[in-house]
Amino acid sequence: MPYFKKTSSRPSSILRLVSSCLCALLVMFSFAANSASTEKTRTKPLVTKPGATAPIRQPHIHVRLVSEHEVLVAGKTSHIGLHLVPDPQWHVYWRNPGDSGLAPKIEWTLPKGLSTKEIIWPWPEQLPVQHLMNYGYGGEVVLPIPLHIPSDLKRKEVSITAKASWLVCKEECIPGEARMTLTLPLGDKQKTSDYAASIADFKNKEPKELPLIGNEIEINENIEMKLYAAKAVFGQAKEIQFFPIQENLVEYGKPANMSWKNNVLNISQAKSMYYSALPELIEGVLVVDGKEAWQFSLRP
Amino acid sequence: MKGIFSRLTFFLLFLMSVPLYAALGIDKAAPDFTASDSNGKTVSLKDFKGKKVVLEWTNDQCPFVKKHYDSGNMQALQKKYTQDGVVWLSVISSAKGKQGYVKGGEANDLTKSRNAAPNHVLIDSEGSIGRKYAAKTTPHMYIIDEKGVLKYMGAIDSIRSASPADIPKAVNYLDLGMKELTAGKALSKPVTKPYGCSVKY
Repeated sequence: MPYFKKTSSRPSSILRLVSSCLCALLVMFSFAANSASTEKTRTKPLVTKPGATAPIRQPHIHVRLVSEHEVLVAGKTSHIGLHLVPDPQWHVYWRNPGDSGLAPKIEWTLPKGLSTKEIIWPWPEQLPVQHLMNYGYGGEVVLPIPLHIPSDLKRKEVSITAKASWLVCKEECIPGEARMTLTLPLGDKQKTSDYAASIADFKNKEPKELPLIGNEIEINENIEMKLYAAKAVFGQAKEIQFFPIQENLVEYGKPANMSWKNNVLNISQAKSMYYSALPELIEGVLVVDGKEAWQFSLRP
Repeated sequence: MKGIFSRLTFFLLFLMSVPLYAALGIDKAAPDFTASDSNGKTVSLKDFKGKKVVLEWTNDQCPFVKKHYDSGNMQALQKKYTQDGVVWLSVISSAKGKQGYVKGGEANDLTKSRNAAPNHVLIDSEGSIGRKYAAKTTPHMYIIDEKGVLKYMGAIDSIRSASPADIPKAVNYLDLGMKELTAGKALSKPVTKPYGCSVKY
């Protein structure tokens, strides 16, 4: 409750007014700065509830496992997420890290009968370093992994162990690894955890499959691809970024020349220094206006 | 009119960027360079015609470089090949103020403290040798034959990690390339993707 003195001389009340305005401005700016940074970097502490391991702190990163469900059901699939939280201004890498860096890796130790599939990679960002280029995540990321529980599992609970390794970098790079075990009960009904929403958020950043009805490729000093998509997804786009999944195809540090109309996309990017032959399979992620992503694959 | 102008600009920019990489290629003459070594001596690639040359991009703070130095792997390779008459040049392309940048005296201290055995440590703080060779990571290895032709560029070995435990499990591409080169064979792996920290230009 504001406390107003009954008697106050004019100059000091003006002073109070000015200082309270300045305070209000400062508070507003710090909120703005905070919300701008929480878009990417996490300022909320990591809370551990059922369905998550206690976060492990290593240089410039927090790491933990999170589960979509806090109660698993035999015969059903759930998702485990590797939650990587780099410190502000630090980053981790995508499946193809680009010119340098290392993608995060997971080795699972699972009870008999349980199985995992490949990491679902949310679409990445470009992380330029001088004239070189990396691909990765400039803030926290959850890497979801599908986990299948066999229908004949008779146990009351399962312990899932992940040995995760990563490289977290700003200017310098720090490799890390951690072994984390998540123990979850089994029941008749799946119960979603407090982490299901964030797993879903990152799962939604998985590029959607873009079927192609045709393609043309020419290799000179550039890799030139013309993609004919089955759907006219490029029409309204203002910016499309190309992220190759295969390594040694394009020179990451050279910008791709992209042009598009309706369902046709042209990509021209300098050939990689390490290019030796056309791969059997070319897969790429296309990020449209930073808001949605497609994944194409073609056999040249 | 507008279209032609932007296309011309793009073409000119493209021309400017081409020389950086066009000169670099396997079985082509390795780009010549001149630099100061850690003792202030001027060193040029052409000084070493008639000998095989290994270029090793390095940054002593990088975990991937530490993997190969803390384990003694890099020093063992340096000793093995320099004893065989190969010229080993360690190159530091870190810009002033960036990780890995050292002055000559400090570079010599590091060579001593790590028991390393390069013939020269080249201080390339402007990054010009790095850019000529498109050095991307530390470590990043190159083999040049006696005629000055580039025969290998890429990773030091086949397991991309920062863990020294992976060294004995990996194929060492320097050893492989040198063996094939000495036997007069074409290299089975002339180019591999290097791994490591990015060079701190």
